Amino acid sequence: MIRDPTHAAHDGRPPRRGLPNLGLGVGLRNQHFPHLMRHDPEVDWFEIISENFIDNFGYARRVLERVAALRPVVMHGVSLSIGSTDPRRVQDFLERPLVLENPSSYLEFKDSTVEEWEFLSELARETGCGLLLDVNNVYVSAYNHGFDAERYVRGLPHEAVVQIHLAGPTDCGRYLVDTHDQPVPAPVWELYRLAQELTGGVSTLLEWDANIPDFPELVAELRKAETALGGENPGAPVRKSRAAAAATVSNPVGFQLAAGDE
Amino acid sequence: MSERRLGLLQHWMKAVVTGRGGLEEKLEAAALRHGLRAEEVVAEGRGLSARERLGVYTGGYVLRLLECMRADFPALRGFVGDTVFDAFAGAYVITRPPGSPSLYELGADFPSFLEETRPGGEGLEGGLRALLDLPPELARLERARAEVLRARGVEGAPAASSPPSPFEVFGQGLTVQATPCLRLLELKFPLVEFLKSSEGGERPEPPAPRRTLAALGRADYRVHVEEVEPWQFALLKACERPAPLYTALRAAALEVAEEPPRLLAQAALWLPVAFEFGFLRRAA
Repeated sequence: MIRDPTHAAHDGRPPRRGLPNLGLGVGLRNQHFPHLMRHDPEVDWFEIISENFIDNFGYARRVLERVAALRPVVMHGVSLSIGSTDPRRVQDFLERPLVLENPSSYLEFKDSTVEEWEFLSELARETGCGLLLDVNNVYVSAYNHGFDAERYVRGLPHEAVVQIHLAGPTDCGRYLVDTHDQPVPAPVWELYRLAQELTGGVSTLLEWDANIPDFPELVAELRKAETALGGENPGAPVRKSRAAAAATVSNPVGFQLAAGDE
Repeated sequence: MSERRLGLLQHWMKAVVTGRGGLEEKLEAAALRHGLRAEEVVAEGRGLSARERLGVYTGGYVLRLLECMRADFPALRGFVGDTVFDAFAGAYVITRPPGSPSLYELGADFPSFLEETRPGGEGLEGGLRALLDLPPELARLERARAEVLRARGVEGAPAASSPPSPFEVFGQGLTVQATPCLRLLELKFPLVEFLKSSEGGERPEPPAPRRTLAALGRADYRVHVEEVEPWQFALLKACERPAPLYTALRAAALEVAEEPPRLLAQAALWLPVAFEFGFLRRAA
């Protein structure tokens, strides 16, 4: 994580796993570069996909420098294959805790002996890692597998949760897909309110990775988090897919290669 | 669950997701290799079979990478059309699955893949058959453009990238070097204008084959793709390492069988352009 060491937690609470509550943030996306180079960022913090910047010395790096001078930037690595190793080895090397995210999923293995939230809880307890609670992913997986999303959120060790992700999925008929291309629907806002209540307040990120709206519209969607925390649910029902289910992509990544020169 | 069983499930899942063919072919290949069938591995329920659940992963894997290929090769996609592009790009990501943690590497081998899988063109008349060479060439140009977009440039070094005056060019004290983002291509077609028109939203007619030299560079975060003369191409090549301008010009003159003084006069006019396009910089 890059952050201004003098940056105070958004809510004045002590940091958890060394990480403060940064407030409301969005992902830094190429489509918003022109806007961000001309206007104040408006949001409290940005997330970057680390791999997009490690080998990129073009305009994206210039935009990142400007944004990082104005706001905290959280780096999210997505190609570490961390699920196939012991996170303690990585944490020992980096000398800091990792923050691991719950996925959205479409199948369960017959060999599974524990529920996902139990596994994540044990992972956090044994390794000391933080948890990135993606409430949209909880909602998608709960729908697809028929488990109770609220029980999942309540079951996690809340002191380990350092960040919450929000996004909008797509209803493909008999299952939901984690498309990151819609406004956040009502059931996800409900889980968000619950998670913030249980954690006492942690950093919030809105993910929007396909059909990305203009920056002001994105910020307006993010600000609905304040409405949700105020007790009013700002969301609509989950949108139904107009495309064939086979053409609906979970976790789109094409935005990472969108043109990004000035 | 034992570590051995966990490892087996991981390898089976990877084989199913990244394997060739439709879902049934993938499952058969994974079953042969790992001795597991989908119904033994995947829990069914909520009206969704094991195959339907696996289909979300297998379909999503290819579609996700296809989106990246479309983003990196927009002009090629516009030229051959969505169906043909998706067929070749889909075959590419399955045949050469990505091995790098960076998506920027995904399209690196696509031009050579297109070259290797180029249809023979039997039965086509000469002009049409020659057109079959165009897609790999256009892919090379677009790949080079994508590399220039992300490569190290000279934006942080204004002194090194300031264009030389004619006095400096003739003064023999100037040492020049190619920028780190310079890419040089020898193409079978005049594709620079074709690419620019495509980027402008047009659907240009494919050009007739003609050997063309192209240079790509970046200045002030703006990518420049230009057709260059043989002597300019040779000069840029001679500047891969820092070189006194006169030395590089002599090498270029030898390459294109020109008299060095004639090239020097032309270079005095062109060098400022080469600096403004991010092809050349001053060497330390």
